[in-house]
Amino acid sequence: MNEDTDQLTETFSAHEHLAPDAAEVLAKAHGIARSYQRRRWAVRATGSAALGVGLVAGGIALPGVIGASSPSGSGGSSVLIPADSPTPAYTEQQELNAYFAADYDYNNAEALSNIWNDGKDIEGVKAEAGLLLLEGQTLPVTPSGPDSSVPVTPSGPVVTYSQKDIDAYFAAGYDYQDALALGRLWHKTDTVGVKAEAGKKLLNGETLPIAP
Amino acid sequence: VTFDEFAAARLPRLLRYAVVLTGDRELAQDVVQDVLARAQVRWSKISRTGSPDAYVRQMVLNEYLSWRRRWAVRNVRAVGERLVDLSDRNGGSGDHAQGLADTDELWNRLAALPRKQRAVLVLRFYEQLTDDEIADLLDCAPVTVRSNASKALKALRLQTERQHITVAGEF
Repeated sequence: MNEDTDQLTETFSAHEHLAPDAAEVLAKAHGIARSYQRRRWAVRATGSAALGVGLVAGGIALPGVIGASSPSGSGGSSVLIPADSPTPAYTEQQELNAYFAADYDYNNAEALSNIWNDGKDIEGVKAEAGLLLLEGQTLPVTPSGPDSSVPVTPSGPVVTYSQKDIDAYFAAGYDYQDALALGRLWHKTDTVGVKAEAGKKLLNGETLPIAP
Repeated sequence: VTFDEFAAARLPRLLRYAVVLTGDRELAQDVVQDVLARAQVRWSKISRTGSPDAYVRQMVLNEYLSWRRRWAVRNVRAVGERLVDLSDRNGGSGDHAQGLADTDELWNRLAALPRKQRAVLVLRFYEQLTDDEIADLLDCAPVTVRSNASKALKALRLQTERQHITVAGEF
């Protein structure tokens, strides 16, 4: 350190007293957080109402995704909630699945994080983005996955996936990149469908052609 | 640690950091309010990061670097307010008053820097971070940090950077 750096340090320290009142800032932050929370709950409730029966016991429904795996009604925990309920309609895993189903990936989440100023909470960004997709909204970035040409619209065909199968896929250590690799082997571009099919095979005791 | 416990323990220091970073009391308030609101909504995740304080400070830095609303207007007004504040606080003359006038003059010059350059100086000389640590926070290379610091110090007409640059001609 020399006189110049001391001068900078002194200048910064000399203006710390301009800091706003902590109590006032905290009170306003609480207010903003409540509005965020209300918006989030509203989005979730709207998503529930919009998709209606799209939510099935043990599975999730995504509008407009082509190349579905077979529906599964067996097993899994129920996530069906009345459309007018204020209770969250989606689990975080479902939001993540929706995100990847639309072929967004980690790089897209980083881009969204930059746009939304969400620090390094990439998982949180994926979930938030997945929720918006489930609600039928458009994200401000283009998916970089292989299905980028496939539009995800609320008016498209409804496809269901077994949450239990998808959970088994991730529980075995497989990830999105593995789904892409499996999709290439199986000639499928729907990565969620690939995950569900792979998870189903794993639950049946079968071995996948690639290691996790 | 709960969000309220975090806020009670860390908010005053976070606000001092924000006002030094932004150079503007109102902007600091807006930035920290927005960041705290988002942090509160996601607190369950942030609290599991191991260092919620570092996480939230990173959010403040990101928010400042991307903030655009009414920046210039606020900054001009805030500079005027600070000059009055300091003059009132000093209430006299002599070396102490001259020293404060010097810091305020430098503070005004800092206000004219691009945000990233100012952030580098704050992180280096207020937060006392190394260039590698700053590079990590800004998601850039250490050489970029040094480049920004060099430009900032040149703009401020300070010569300090000579001590930090170890590789000649790297810019």
